[in-house]
Amino acid sequence: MPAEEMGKVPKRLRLIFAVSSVVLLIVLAISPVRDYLSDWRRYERDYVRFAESRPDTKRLLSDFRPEIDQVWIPQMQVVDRCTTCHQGITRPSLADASVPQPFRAHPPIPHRVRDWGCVVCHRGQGLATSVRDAHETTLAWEQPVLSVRYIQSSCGACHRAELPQTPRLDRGRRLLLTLNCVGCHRLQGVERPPMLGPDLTNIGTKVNRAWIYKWLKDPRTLTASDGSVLVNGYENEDEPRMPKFRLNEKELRALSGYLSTLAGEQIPPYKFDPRVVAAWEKRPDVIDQGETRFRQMFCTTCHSLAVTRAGETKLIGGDIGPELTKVGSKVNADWLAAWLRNPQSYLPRAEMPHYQWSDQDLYVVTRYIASKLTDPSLLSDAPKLEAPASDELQLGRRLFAEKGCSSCHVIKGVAPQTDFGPDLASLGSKNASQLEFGNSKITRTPVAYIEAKITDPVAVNVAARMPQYSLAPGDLDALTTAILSMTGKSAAPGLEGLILTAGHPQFRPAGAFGELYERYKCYVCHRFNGSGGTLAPDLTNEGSRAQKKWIAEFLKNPQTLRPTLTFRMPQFNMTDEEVAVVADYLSMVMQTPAVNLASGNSKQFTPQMASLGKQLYEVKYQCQSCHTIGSAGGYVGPNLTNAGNWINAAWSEEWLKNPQSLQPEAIEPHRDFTDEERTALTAYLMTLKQSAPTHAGGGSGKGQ
Amino acid sequence: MKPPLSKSANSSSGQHGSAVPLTMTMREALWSAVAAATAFLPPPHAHLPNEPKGEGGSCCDRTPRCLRHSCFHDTGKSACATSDTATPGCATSDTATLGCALLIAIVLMAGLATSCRQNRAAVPPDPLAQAYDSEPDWNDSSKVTPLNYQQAQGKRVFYQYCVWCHADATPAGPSNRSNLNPNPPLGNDGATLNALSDDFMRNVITLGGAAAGKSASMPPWGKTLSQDDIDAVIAFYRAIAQPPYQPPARPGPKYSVR
Repeated sequence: MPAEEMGKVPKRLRLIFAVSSVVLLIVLAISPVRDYLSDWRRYERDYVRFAESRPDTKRLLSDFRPEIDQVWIPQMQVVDRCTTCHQGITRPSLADASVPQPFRAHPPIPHRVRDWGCVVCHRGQGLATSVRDAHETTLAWEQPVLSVRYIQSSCGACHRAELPQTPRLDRGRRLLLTLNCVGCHRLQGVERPPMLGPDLTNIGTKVNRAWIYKWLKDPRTLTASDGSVLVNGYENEDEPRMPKFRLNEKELRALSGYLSTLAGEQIPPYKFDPRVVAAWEKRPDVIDQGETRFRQMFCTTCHSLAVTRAGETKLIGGDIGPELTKVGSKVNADWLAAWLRNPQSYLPRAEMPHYQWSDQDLYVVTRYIASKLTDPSLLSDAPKLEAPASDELQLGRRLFAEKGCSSCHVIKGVAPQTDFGPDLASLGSKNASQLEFGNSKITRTPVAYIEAKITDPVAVNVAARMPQYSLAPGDLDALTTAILSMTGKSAAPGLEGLILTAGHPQFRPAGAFGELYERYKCYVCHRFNGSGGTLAPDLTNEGSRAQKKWIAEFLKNPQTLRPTLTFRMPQFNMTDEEVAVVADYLSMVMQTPAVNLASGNSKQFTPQMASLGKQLYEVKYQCQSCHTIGSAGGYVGPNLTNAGNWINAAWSEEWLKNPQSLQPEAIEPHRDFTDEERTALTAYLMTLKQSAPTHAGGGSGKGQ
Repeated sequence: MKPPLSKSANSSSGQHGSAVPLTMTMREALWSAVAAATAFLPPPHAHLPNEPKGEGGSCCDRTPRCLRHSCFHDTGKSACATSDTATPGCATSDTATLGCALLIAIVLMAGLATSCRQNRAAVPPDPLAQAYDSEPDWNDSSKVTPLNYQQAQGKRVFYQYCVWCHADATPAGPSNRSNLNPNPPLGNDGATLNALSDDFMRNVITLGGAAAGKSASMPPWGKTLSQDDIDAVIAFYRAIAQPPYQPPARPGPKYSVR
């Protein structure tokens, strides 16, 4: 090769070198360009610009560094880089809604961002540094950010007990219980209650085949003649516990036929005293008398009735027991009398108290219900159903097991089922790829999956056995929130210690009081030591609050304490011995050590103290805004007309010191009384005595 | 609580078996098409499909400029071959190689452009989807007011302590409001409450009506409720006010989002 040509490279080769070096440079440039253009760098540059436009620039940039910022919580396996872009999240001065995202401060919540990070509550990918990777589902990272609508589910992942701050989650958890989800599914933190649906062993003695047919066909629309939504005969917004199963005509006939023959351990119809029947049978006012007694017994504290006033029909009454507007057309009159006599003889776990009704009351009330609370057209659109054939019975028996009926209903001699549906205890932690969407058109996210499963199970899986629920939108959100909160056992070993469990075991007293407590079902409405109902006052400290004599009188003749309340304690017709047992137990056992009855009640009050107290009550503190004495005053607090016979002086003084220390949810404001004022007010209250107890009907109220 | 990257250890039950996610977005589809088309190119391109996307807005117009800059400043005259302002000399060179180079540029731009389009197509947020809780309008039950965390806490406080006198319907039935003289304002009475400053409301609630020159029927809540509770309940009143509450004017932000 000639020397002058040694340094010469063929033109073609030069071009290849040129091109490949350019390609190489472009390839090398990709990385820095990409880095410069990355989401997080852009947001950091924007944040600096933004901070410079604010008056407190110096403070906003005091610990800003142009690098990835992260919250690392090794104990929970949390690495959150969200604060790289969400720079202002902990700066109180950026809380204003005019601050553009992602720089706005987080609203104040009980947990600090630096302690807990973001993804613990909001989900998403804490490690990601681009907007899409962090917030959405991508091929590599699946967990999308949780909409704030369901954010309370994250509270529920650790807080298993009810929290006042999470109304939606608490509602959802109550729905999980009241809709009997636990009948078929295993749920985290929800125990299977002893009774889910009624025992059907003797259902044939209670209702007829046509009623069962209609109920099975659609429990919500029992008489949907005009297309309105009806439950058990009347309109109700609440979802009935019994869902709609998709049964065809043959199945409906078979199942209703099978159930209507169930009268295995038939209870003999209750035999009324023939003298009572003879005296009342022919009387024209027997039904009116029945209605009066029905009202006087305050059945509507637990049961509702449809009442039409001024052209508007409304359900009036409580929701502890079933709605009764058309119950007379549903149940057999013999069954009704036996049930009212002793509900537990038909359903051992029934929540209805065993009232000590006289034969006369029982007779007139039964007549009233069977003739007035009826609707002759209730079953008019059910087909003619004869006695079931043997093949129908066989199919019905098989369907009872196949459709999962035995998950909630007991029939003696039929094996009960548990875990009929899938285990949902960790559904909340599943990613979209772990869920079976099939060919459905549902958006591939866990939230969409759960909502679709609840609203229309067949849309997700054609062969779904799950029945059909029809929930109000708010309830759907609440239920989805509660299901999302069930994240199963966490893989993080450090987390177990953080999980707060639901507290309070059931309060089950023993002895004579225990028997009465069960018989009169005190716990259905009242709360004892943290367990029980919330309709009526918490009786945990009743012995410290009320005088024993008053408790005994009240049990004999419950009177109204809070005039605004429509729910009142029903009359139980207890015997004197029973009253003595209950009054003894409540006043001796249900006490708080915070109130010293011995020293407080022995205090001597002078008339001067009482007159000062009256003045404080009426002028300085205007207690009459909320409390009634005699006929004047407000409706918020209890009626104090008979306070001197009702309240212990020691309780009154302690209560005035700090009401919430004795009853945390008390509405009464905690005020700054001096010791002298407290004593004077108590002295005044102790002078308030009603000479004769009123007989205006029972009364006891809900705390709020 | 679930650590961000740990897959759930629980085995899924019968109904929730694992399924392959089929959420292939337009961007991913485009990338795979591009990857197939450029399979014959030299190795460096092989990693292109893994490249994260660019960001929203400005990247579309910025990217071509950047490419041009890097070739002019860093690669000298021979680099003209790839630039869109190529010299006449380049045009005479091997067309196949030039084609490859142009293809690279197009692929890069196309990739960035698609990712830009991806980001721009953001879904407008539904106000109730982002609400912690909600409160139906007191006068019109078809309307629902979204509440944030603080307002939702205020709602809880309101329905425990305030509703008895500051609403016409209470959870227990009738209200104590008509019983008081003067009538306390309704919780949503914007005409009355909007004129009161947050500080004044805080004082009335904390110290009682008498201390602020109002009715002594309003008790002091300062020892019953925490400061946070009181601020929350004021926020709740502001949220449900009819006519709606307008916060006092503040200097508008000079900064604007691009």
